Amino acid sequence: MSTSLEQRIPTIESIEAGLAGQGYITSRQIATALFLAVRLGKPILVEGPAGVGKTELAKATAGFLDLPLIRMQCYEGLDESKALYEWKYGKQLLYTQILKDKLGEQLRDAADLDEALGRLDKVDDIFFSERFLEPRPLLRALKEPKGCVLLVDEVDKADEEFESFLLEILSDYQVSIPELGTQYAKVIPIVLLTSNNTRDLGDAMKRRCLHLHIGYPDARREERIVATRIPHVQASLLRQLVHFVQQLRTQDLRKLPSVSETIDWARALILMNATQLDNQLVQDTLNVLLKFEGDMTSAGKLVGEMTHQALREAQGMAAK
Amino acid sequence: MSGSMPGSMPGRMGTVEPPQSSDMLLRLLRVARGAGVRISVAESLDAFESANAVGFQDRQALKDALTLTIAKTVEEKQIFEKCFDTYFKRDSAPLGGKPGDPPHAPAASERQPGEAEGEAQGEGEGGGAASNLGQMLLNNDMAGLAAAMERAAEEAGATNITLFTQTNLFARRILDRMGLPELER
Repeated sequence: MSTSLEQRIPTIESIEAGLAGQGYITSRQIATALFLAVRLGKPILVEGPAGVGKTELAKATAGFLDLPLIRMQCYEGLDESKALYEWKYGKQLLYTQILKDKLGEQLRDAADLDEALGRLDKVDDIFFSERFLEPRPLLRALKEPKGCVLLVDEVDKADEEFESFLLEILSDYQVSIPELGTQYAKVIPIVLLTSNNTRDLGDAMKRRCLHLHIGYPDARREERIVATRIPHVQASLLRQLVHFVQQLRTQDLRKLPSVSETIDWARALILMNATQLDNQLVQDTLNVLLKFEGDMTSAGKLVGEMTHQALREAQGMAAK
Repeated sequence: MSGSMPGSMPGRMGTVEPPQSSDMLLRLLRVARGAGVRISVAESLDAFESANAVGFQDRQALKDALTLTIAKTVEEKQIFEKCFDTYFKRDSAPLGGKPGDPPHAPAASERQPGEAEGEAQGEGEGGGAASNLGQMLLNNDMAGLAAAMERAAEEAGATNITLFTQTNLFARRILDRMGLPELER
């Protein structure tokens, strides 16, 4: 399967095209990262500001390669039993109750305690079998028969202990369950870890991963992204709004607008039946792009100028 | 010690002469390390694997692949990309003269530091570096400096160093090749 996966994405261009088919406009570097991840069997650590499409990349990849997407959201306090596997304790207990009679029969003719224990030993393997195993995302990803895309979202939110635990699984794609032995991956999954840089990840983790940084897209790519998401947007309005957002990103703001906000803004503008940007319109809808009061006031002063500039640039682009 | 050096040099140079991609990659990694990108041995191996996966034909793909494998922060990515560009700029520009250069280099490493200056100008390639040295220092161009140092060390045969007492001698030779005399003038 892994060879056929390689065959399915023979070139970097084929990945670009495939993801574009899923409505995800990549840069060359993103496509190269996927290309390498499949060939080297390495996880990709995706970093970058919020809302540039890190999670979206995993979804699009799964869609394009027709693989199941297994997602694990990280949070503080996440531990093995939530991430890897758990014994179905209740079910085990229930079965013991139901099988009580059966067990009594088995043990009745035992000569002494030792023999009874010996017989129990043979039975208790049943209670720690796959039947009572509750696989959590990581184990599920390993057991997926055709491979999968494993998305470990916001890995920086998890504790450092969990990070090192993750490291162990991701370096060998195997995990040992004491009662069952070592579980190997049937097919090496495509692993994407995302991080918003709330804390620095360990060196060991970074060393084992391909490191992909997705920044804000340039105007051309952003236009393509918005156009794929909102097909009915007018070309002239699209150019103007993208240029405006691009300018806004050069300002010193607490939270820069990202692609998802550009898309939201475009939707809002269309709902307001706008055909082109003007000062008042931008002022009224600025809260879609900016999420802090301070940002709103500091950017608000420049709106007129930036709108004018965006209109000019968009016109220049159209003229070309 | 210097007597045995010229003997061993041509042999080593002989293997380098057809610019092999693996050699090229090793040197590039060394340049990147010099410029401050932290690269572990495991990452070097990964770099080779990625380079093989994307091939050496498409330079942009190679650059992307290596950046993904080696550089693990945004700053490192910028440094590495600069190293890459600098490395290939000097690699592709004097491509015609390159095969002719190695035979001169071992001879030069034998000579007195004073003579190396003439050699540098004669080579043309080295002459370009000489005028660049000051520029690179002024611009604080770490990547460029690392690349120049790497090349100068190659020419001075720094890998043949055996005694710690030779460190200063080789350092001087490397500096000469990087164009220090011109800068001091």
